[in-house]
Amino acid sequence: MSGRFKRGQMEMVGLVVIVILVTIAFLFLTQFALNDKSDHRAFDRKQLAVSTLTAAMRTTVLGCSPHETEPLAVEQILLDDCAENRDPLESVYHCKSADGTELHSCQFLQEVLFPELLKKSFDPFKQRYEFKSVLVNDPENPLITSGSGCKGRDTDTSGEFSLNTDHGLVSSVLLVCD
Amino acid sequence: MTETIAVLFIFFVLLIFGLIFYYKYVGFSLKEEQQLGVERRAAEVVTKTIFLPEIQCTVGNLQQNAYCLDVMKMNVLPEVMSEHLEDYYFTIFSFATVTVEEMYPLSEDGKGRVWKIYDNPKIDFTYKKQSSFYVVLRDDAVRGPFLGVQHSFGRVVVEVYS
Repeated sequence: MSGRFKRGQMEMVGLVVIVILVTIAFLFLTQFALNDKSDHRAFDRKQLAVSTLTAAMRTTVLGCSPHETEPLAVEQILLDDCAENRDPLESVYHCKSADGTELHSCQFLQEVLFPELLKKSFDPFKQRYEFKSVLVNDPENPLITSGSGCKGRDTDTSGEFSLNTDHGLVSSVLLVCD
Repeated sequence: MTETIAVLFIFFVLLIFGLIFYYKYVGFSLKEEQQLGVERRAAEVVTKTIFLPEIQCTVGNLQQNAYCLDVMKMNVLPEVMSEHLEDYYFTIFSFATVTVEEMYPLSEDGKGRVWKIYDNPKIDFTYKKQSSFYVVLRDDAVRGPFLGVQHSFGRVVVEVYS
């Protein structure tokens, strides 16, 4: 009786080993399948970040005084003006908001242009993003920030977009995350 | 003897479950592979559109910059494309729809211009993938007094079929 009981126990141990092996194989397959997918998504996200920031920086804006009829480039003129004239009264260019109020170039980029362009780009895909433009010699006080933030998330970057101004180098980065 | 039969029975039940799971997984991964192929093709079509010499921004014979499409060239492209759809453009884009949309600035009625670059959808498709890419649209027709050219913010929307 004792021998039969022991054999039964050994068979149960064998069964448990088989179940453990099947579980490990299942977990391995699942992990492999998930990893493969995330690599592909990361590539898409990186391209999206680069193309969006490149296009946004090269976009021009009409209706900014003192040259209302001149298309002004976002990076070369408005961001440059923002970096060189941060004082609210000193800005060379003033652009109109939706309600017709004239805004300082920094304020226009911060409150009107970048939120509009980036929201239109990322909201349809329900994708989070973070945009930051800083003077390299004063990183604590960013010129422009936009987006809901990417801290602690799987993130891709557009890479740094640099602009040389009289007040130093301006670095702009767009992060895109899930 | 009874225990051996019971263990063998459970073993075969597990084996059958394993096989069912494996076949389901193979079927699912085949479908995923097919979808991945379509997604890769969507990315390829987007890249081909952005670097299509017919609509790319140029200065003289030189490429101006990446991610820039010329509005004046896009206005006349459908005419050129319709003449060579089968013998040339189908080999580049296959079954796909390529649209360029102006997103900023918008006209007073809140709408932007839209260009249908290529329109050849597959009627009996099993899977469709949409992909977007952002570009700047250079419009030489809008120039300022200091000769600045308008560049709008736009997007290329690609739909590919399998």
